[in-house]
Amino acid sequence: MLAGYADDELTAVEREAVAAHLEACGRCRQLVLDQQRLQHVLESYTPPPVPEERWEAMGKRLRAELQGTGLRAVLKTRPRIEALEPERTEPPAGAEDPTPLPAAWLAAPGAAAARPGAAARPRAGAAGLAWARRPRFGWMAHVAGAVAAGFLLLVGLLVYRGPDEARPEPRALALQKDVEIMEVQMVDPGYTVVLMVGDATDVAAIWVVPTETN
Amino acid sequence: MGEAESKARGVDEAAQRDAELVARARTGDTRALDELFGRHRQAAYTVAYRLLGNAEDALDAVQEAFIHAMRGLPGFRGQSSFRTWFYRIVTHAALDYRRWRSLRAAGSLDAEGAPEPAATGPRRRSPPEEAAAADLREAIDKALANVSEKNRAALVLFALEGMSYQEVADVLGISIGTVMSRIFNARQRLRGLLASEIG
Repeated sequence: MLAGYADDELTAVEREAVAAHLEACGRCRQLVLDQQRLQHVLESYTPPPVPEERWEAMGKRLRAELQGTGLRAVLKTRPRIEALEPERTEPPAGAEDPTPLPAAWLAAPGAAAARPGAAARPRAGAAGLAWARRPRFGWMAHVAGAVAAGFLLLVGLLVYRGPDEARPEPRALALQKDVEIMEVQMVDPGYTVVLMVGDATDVAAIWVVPTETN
Repeated sequence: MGEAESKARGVDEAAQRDAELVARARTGDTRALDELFGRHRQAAYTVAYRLLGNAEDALDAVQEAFIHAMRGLPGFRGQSSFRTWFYRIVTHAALDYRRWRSLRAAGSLDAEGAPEPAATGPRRRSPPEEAAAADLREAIDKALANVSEKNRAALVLFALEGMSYQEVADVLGISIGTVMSRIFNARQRLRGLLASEIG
């Protein structure tokens, strides 16, 4: 908070609270002064000037990059920005990338090898490529889908009792079981939540029923 | 109009201009790119310099940041301002460059194909009238190098004129409270390291 106070970055309420504290705390007042003094020093701390010709050379390089007329730059760094590149594993060198990427994201040939720390990977043969590109988790997806469908079917069978079987009406059930019921209007006025409350504060059952219209 | 309101209006107008230039640069308009470059190059260099402490390395990091930004323009969704998005790139580029430089110095990298290292030798003597400023700059460079990376990044970004705590939070992807804490800790650390310089 003291840094925020020194930099005038607090809300009005926060500033008032800190100001009240500073009236009584000499140590914190000194800390605020130190923060402001350091900030002043840093604001006057400027890097060495850059000759205009350096900027012009950099500008030419960027124009060439934008127009695609120059060699694509081999970069030393790789900023971790999701907006630039999605997370993906790099395929072995020479392997055909099955996932097409926008042209702007494709590095120049050899650029990956030129990145610091990037070790050259052995080329994979045709069989190795096919094996590497196999759909590893396809069968699991099918099994998961089948299990989910079976579960939904089971739930549906349990819930659906057929048109002939009468479902106990919650209010009638409440009278039978001698429990209290509470009705809470839902956000959707078409439905009402009916809570059946048993002993103490436990909720015995919750029903959502269409709101009775009078 | 108060100073804060005037500042806010200026920031909005600048953001709007950046958005127009980005849209044009995406179509290959080199003049829009030139203007974007001109508008942000000095601030990017200042951030990179304060993170790296070396002008040559800072210029390398700035160039890489601009190239990354050019390549990433198709994916820039405009959820944040161009300034926030670009400074995030500059910060990461500078910090990544610093790590790359450290690894290279430690000999962990295969030197084949690696670019020549930036000059990190003794600073050339400045004209006499800049000697005092150069001494202070050197002292601050050394002191900043002893501040943790996270705290330094927050402080460096805030020290740029016009960047608020909220903008710093957006660039670094942290909360305002964390920004406040990191800036406080960074300055306290510097206070101890620069006691003889600033009194």
